Amino acid sequence: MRVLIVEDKAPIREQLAADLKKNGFTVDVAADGAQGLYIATEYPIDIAVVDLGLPHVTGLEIIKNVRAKGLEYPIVTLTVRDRWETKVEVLEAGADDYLVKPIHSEELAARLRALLRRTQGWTQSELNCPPVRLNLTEQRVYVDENEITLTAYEYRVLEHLMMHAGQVISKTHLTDSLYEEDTDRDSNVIEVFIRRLRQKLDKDDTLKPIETLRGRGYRFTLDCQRTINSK
Amino acid sequence: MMGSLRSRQLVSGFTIIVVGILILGILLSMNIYHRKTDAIIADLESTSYNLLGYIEFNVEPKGGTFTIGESNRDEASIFVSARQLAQSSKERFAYIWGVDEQKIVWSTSDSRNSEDFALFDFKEIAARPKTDSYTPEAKSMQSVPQANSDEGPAPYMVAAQTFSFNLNAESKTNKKSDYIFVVAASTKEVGREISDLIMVFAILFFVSVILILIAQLASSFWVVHPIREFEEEVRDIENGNKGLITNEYPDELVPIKNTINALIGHEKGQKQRYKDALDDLAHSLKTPLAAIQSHIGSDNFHDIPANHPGLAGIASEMEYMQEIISRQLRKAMVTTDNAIIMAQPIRPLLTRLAATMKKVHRDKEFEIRINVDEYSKCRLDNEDLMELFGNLLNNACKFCDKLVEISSYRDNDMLVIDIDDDGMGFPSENPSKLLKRGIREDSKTEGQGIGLAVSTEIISAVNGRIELLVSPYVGARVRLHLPV
Repeated sequence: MRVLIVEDKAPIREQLAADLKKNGFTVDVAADGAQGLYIATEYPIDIAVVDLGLPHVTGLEIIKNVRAKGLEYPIVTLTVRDRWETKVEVLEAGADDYLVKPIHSEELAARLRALLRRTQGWTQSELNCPPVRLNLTEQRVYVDENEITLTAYEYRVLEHLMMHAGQVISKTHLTDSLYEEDTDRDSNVIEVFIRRLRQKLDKDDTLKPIETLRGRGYRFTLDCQRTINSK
Repeated sequence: MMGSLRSRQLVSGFTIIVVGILILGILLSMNIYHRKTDAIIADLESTSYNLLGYIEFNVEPKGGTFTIGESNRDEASIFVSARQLAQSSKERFAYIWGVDEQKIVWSTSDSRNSEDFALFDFKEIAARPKTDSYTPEAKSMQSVPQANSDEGPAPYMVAAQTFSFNLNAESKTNKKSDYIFVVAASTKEVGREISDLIMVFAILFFVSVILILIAQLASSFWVVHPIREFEEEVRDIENGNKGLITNEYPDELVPIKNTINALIGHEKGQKQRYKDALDDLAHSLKTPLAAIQSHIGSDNFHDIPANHPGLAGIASEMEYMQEIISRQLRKAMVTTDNAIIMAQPIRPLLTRLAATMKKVHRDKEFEIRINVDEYSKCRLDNEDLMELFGNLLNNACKFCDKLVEISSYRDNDMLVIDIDDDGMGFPSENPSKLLKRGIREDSKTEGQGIGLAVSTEIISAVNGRIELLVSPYVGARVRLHLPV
């Protein structure tokens, strides 16, 4: 999942970026409002973390602009102002969550994950598409109660596909959500990950969890239980 | 009495007009009286002149008598009747009083009986300086009551002159006898006319007093009305129904209006500046603190083991500092007591908060019912209101099962708001402990504590009240009494 961090204070920004990477996110950073707004509207990001007290373009303006452009991805705001007045204002402007500084990276990561799965209609922290289960907090994958060992990148690809189960995800989109802006891209890498995932999840080739749509991308095909009650 | 503008205006106007009418009446009646008496005086004086011309003094037969000469008798009788001197003896008359005899020796009527005439203080007349020539001078005098009459003294206009005659020209005794010639007219009529006039004046006076009173009251209402209106508007501001004085007022009130508006603006500005300064301070402290915390959390200290006790100590102290800052900041925010706060309708605020709560607690399926009408207002700063209901609603949403309900009603001059949920409720033993938590500096923030503590601070700053009860849904009920 690709996350944008807009924060003008360098130590906090770097700390958050490092911690989120550790938690399996692909991180873009912006040091001021203008840059943040550019990335937020021009890049295919999945979620944004925006500080409210930014110079020039405020966090609130970024949120309003992003929403005005019709972008629906979740936005988490960071602020020092622990007041409901601000909270209501920010949430009404279109933000989805609100964290008061100091930020604990673990909490932020958990909130981001929760928001991401929620926007895709998942209400639990475990993506359950029998027989495949993916636990977002533990970042573990099970097939029929057997844990499957995945590399970090393999996990990210699977998480992305399962999160958007039933939807076609293009190869570029997958690449974007895996790599930061300036890293070398090799589209073959995705094919390699998909092949490995198929082998690991579906040893005897009966499940066929990931479908390839030539020229369009990939789709996770298994039926999923997004809410607790729906069977 | 003089404390009110209206009474001042009433009393001053009333006094001026009443005194004016009184003076006017007195002057007018005096003038009329003088004119009347002057006419009588002139009449008496000329009468006495003419009458003297007709009268002759006869030494003979004895003692001296006064008669009207034969040649003049007809003329004199015409004159007497023309001057109405013989009609009613007590109204107009002329007689000669013999000082020696102590009786009337001659009169214009046939009677010589002193009871038929009014007698005067002859001693006083006799004591007047004597003049050689006759210069009649009429003066107002009181009649002297007579012994066998029950009439009191009556007012007369009297022209009187004392004459001395030698009773016996031949005798060398030179004995002189004094006689007083009196021409008098009753001024009772004039007095009655004047008193009638005064009566009319008195009636006029009372009628005009009543009319003036009515007019004054009406005009004072009219004059004082804008002041009343002004007062009402100021009271509205005081009660928080209005922010500024906006009505149009007469020129005299405009400076006060502007001054009050400036004061209100100043106070608001002051509060805003205070808040901003506090905010800036907290902001500037929190940011470096947050930066220090992320330094400690990062790998910058890789030569020091992560579980180094010193580092952990610093980190926990940091957290504590952050906490103090936010708590003190919140406290400072709410304890700014401002006399001029507009009453806010709480419904729009609650609907906004409800939408926010749905977003904050989106993992939960629950309903927020707002049974608060548009007329429910309370006098709290907008930010404080938001903070108050934000905290309480957040608690309710956090602990509810399926339902949060907000309802309000008026209780005298308080707005009572119940926030109910269907959760597990407050701990049964000593729930009021929850309200005190957070006010103590070292208390930890968890559960409902901090929200309730902040709410308590806000409420006590505006002299409201908070109660922890049991909701009809068996969960918690927070009851607020807020000033209207």
